[in-house]
Amino acid sequence: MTTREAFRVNAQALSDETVVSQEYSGQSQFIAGARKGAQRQRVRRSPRGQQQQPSGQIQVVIQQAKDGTWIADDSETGQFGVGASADEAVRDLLTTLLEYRDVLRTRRHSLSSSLAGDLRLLERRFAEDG
Amino acid sequence: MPTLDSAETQRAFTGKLGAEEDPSRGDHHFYVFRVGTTVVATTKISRGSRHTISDDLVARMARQLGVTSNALSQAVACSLGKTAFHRLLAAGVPFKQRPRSG
Repeated sequence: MTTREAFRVNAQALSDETVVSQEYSGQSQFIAGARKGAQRQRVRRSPRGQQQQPSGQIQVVIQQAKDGTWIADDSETGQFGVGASADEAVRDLLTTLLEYRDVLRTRRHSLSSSLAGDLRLLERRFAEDG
Repeated sequence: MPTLDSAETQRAFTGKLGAEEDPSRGDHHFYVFRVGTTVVATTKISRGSRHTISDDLVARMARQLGVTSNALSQAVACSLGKTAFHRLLAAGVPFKQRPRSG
């Protein structure tokens, strides 16, 4: 791994592979069009200066592997996305998270406590996404 | 660090390792591992043509399953059997063991 960057990705209103915004070093930029009116969100800071995760946002760590591909990691669920660019990796991650949520949903009553926790987390994150 | 062949890995998961493949038709194949009736872990492989899964991704898949990369590699390569692999799944520490609320 050669590059490591932490982004916060807004997962609210995510659908149709809509990746809304990312925030890094205090600057936001769109990485894909927001089709459902989602807006950029600033990362709030607590009085002690620690970052708080706004509802619907995912902290994503993006790394470039030795082979040049990019990998986006969701540190809370362990899910990852892969792509030829950082944006592509984030989009793949968000698609993965939605698929993962659906995989867990269909097995809701037989999940280990850890996976049940993932499902609760994902349902909170994607609350507007059915 | 091990790499894996995607097609061999898919065959191993649903064959000798007893995982169920989720039937949804998304961008990824999801594999669900149960111990008894309880789903204890899942992992995924991207759809598309046969490819080599890099060591970075093998490490992530292994972490999702709560096993080491070597154990995952050995399980796919047949040198670790289903019973032993499921024992690791049952005993393994899933990706994260942090208390959650809600």
